[in-house]
Amino acid sequence: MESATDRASGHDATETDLLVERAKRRDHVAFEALYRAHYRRVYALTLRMTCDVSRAEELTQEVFVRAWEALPGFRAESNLGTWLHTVAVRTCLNASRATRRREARFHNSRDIDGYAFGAKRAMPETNVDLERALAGLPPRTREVAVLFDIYGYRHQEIARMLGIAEGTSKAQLHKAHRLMRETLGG
Amino acid sequence: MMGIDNDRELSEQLGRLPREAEPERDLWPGVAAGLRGDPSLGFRSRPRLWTPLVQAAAAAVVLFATGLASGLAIGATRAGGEPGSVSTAMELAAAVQRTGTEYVAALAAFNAIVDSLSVDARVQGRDAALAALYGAAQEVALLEVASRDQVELPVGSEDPEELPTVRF
Repeated sequence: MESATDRASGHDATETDLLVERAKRRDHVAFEALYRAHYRRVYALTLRMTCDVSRAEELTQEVFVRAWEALPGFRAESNLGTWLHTVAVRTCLNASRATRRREARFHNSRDIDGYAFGAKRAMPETNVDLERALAGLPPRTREVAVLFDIYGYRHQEIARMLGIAEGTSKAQLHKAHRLMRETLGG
Repeated sequence: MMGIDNDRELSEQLGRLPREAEPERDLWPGVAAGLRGDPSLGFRSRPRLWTPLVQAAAAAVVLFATGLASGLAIGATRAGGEPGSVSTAMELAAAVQRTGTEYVAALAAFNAIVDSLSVDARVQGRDAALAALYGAAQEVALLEVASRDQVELPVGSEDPEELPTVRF
């Protein structure tokens, strides 16, 4: 079944299936076509999960390299866009764990102004106040808010991906909303 | 600055944020380099994640096999010197117990490594652990040919619920 994700890619389901089959046979040209159809969605996710333009670019590249490696195991009946999104979320969460360990040692702070500028350039139609409020959240709280509010994941799915209890996911979302409303002056 | 009065309104506004973004540079050349396995890229490829898992699994197998061989050698020596004595059987059992303890410790160390990795890496690690256990069980089966039918191990599936078993 063709999904919104695949319709957004600009390919119909048959074209996508053919490209996937060619890419599975290690055809770089076919894989580039799949990349061109999906990189914007992956980049938007990595940008919001990291709030760092450079890191988001690196992670977007990493997502597609990992997708290339895992593609032979991709099943035709699955939706490529959904599968890629899952690869992207996992890649971001793995990177986030490593980043948190590093930040815990060096006490780095995120550059919210830099992120807001980058987000506006990458997504001219976005709401910069909301993006700034998101960027100001603690990393785990932001991840839950991004996955739930923007990408529509359920708490059960978020809890499984983050390795936390479902109740913790709900509590993090509540905290995210409270902090964001404070930031936004609600 | 915008004011938002309740969580529902905030969720709705967040849900309307764009889900696509255009990077400032073309990222494909970096992806293409990654597909060719260019080592200058910052991210690690799957084989490098896989390597420590294989090493850990191999270490567990070697430790098990070494311990098992040592226990058998001790048991055979004692059995040859004092055939049929109770103390020999007890020492052999103690040697096997020590080997088992070392094996469990090795698996615990392996598990600690696995916990620090991604879901994909854990799946690979589990497969490696199954391969290790399969090899170990083969060693066990060789000890007593008559007990072959009692040795079963799950193999070859992503879903633990659907794991078939193999007899050997």
